[in-house]
Amino acid sequence: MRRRNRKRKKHNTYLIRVPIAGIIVVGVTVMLGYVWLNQRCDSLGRELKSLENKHESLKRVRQQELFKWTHLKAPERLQAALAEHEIFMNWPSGRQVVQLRKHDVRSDPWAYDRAQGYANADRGTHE
Amino acid sequence: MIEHKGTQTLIEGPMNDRRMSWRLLACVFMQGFAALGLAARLIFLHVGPHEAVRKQADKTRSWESQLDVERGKICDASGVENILALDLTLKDVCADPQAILDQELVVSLSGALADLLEMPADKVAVTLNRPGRRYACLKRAVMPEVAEAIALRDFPGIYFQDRSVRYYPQGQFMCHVLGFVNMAGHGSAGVEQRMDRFLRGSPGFVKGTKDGLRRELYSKRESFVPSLAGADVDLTIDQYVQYIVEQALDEAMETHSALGAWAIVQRVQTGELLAMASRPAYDLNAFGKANKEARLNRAMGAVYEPGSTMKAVVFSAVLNEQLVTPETVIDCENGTWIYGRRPLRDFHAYDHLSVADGLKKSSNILSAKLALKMEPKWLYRYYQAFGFGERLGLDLPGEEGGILHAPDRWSRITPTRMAIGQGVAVTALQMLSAFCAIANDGVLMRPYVIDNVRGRDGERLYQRHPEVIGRPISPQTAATMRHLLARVTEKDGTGKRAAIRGYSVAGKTGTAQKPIPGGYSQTDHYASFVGFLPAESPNIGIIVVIDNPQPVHTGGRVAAPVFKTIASQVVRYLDIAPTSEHVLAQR
Repeated sequence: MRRRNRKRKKHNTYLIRVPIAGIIVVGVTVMLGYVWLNQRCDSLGRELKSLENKHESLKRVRQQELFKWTHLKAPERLQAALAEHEIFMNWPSGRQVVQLRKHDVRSDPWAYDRAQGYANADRGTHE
Repeated sequence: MIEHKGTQTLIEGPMNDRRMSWRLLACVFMQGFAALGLAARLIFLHVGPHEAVRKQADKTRSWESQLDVERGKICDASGVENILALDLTLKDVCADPQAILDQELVVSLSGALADLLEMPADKVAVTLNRPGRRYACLKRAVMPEVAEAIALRDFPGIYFQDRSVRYYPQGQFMCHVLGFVNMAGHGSAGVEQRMDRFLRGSPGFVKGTKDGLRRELYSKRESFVPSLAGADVDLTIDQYVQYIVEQALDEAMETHSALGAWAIVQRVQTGELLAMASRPAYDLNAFGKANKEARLNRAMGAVYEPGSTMKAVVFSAVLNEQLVTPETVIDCENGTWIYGRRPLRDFHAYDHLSVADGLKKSSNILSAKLALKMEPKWLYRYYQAFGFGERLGLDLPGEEGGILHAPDRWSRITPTRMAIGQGVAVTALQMLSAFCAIANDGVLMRPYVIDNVRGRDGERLYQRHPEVIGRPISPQTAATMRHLLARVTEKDGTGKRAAIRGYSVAGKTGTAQKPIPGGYSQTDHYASFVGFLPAESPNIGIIVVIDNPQPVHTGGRVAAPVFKTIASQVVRYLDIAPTSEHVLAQR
């Protein structure tokens, strides 16, 4: 009697059969996976969107900086800045300019320095 | 059977197990049924017969937009280092007038905003004092610094909107070359117009779905075409050379109370323009306020009778035909010569002059006699060969071709008048190109201002190369002409004020009376000087034209000093070596 009861008890513990349970588990897993992937796509989308916005704003900042830099370098602006600081620049006069003709310049510009022994220490570190 | 063990209660037995199972099954069944019902409803809604409802819902959520595109930059000869035109995002300062009125802040806000926006306070007050309105734009396209200053004050009812505009950082600098972009975003003048197809780029497109908060659902984007930014255009113009030229012109306009002034600097060997300026000018950032006169690029879009500068063409023609030599002596009729029953006079009376001296002294009579040595049709061919009478093909819109009548319309005296630059109209660009041809061993180059076009990835989409248009005179004639023209800037030449220490300058002065109905004006003139340097191995050519200078009006006194001002700075900036051995020896 006890043995028979035990068998019946064992039989009753499985409410849903294993294959059905398996299908349910797989189905739920697939559904959860789908939901997770969907969420992931959405979050990646949001991230991409925010990066797009950031890219746009950085582009604007870059443009602003380019504009400022260009504005600062404009000849008129430079002239005004010099005048503001009372710096007056003139072109050098004839006596202040050293003109070298092509044939005056050696093919190896360092040759003269080497012969004189100038700047050897500096060059030595590079060579 | 119920068994109690302390606080725990255990329910066991086949009856209880069976009841639990049924309850569980019932729950599962009911939930499954509910889920099935929902699924059926969903399927029904999505694929069911309610097409109109579905379309309405899709329409509400769907979204499509054109993506803004950045127009390409325009840079000077140094490339991206010196930007002359770029797209910039500025701010529109907007207001909610009703909100401001509700708080009774119109007066206080008007005063504060007027200072920051540099507008009259009453104008701001009128804009803000509009009951019932929720939107008003106080000022469009203000600089970010101004917007920042306003934002810091945190004015109630004031907010900003972004606005992308085409901006020219240096205002009216190089305005006639750059041109501008109209409100529709199309290039409407200058480089902006000519290179519009490269500069404008291609706008992008996005189509997708938005959620209830009108945020884009990125995962549901249907299509996305990114915008293709416009390519950058590099000019041959050097902004420092341009600045030197513009400064000199502004000074000349003021000194001589002129109606207008224009100048061009050109590389002799290639034809590339290093500077092109015209006065009056206008602010590119407010092109709508500029009148037609200010917008005209006179350097290539205005024709004028050139006067004595044209003598160089006639001298070149007769020397090239070997009809005379520089030493040939011509009778200059003591200052007045009657030909075709019309008198022709020299500014200073001369008895006899050699051809070389005739050019140096700018004798009208000698030039006219030289022109008569040639068949009219040959003279006409030389004019044509030097590029007069038709456009040179500069890569800017609005170039004029000048006026050069065919020989069959010439009268008996026409060659004598054309020799002194009357009865023929040219642009400054044509005249400079003709002189550059003399400087360039007789080879006429096509002038150009656009050097290259760079895509955003650095790829060269367009590269301009020097182009030969023609060869009006032989290299020998060109060498002779260079020598003769260099004498013009010597001590007793008409262009002595254009001489630069250390450099031999070749050039020609021009003083032309303005044509009026029935003759020529005695009071209104064009004063010009065109030349190149160094005369022995020319590098750059420069032309300066001053419209109606007062009270002095001669090319030698008005235009030649401007030429000198420009040339003396440009040769140093471009590092052109002096040619005078005397100066070299001193150094």
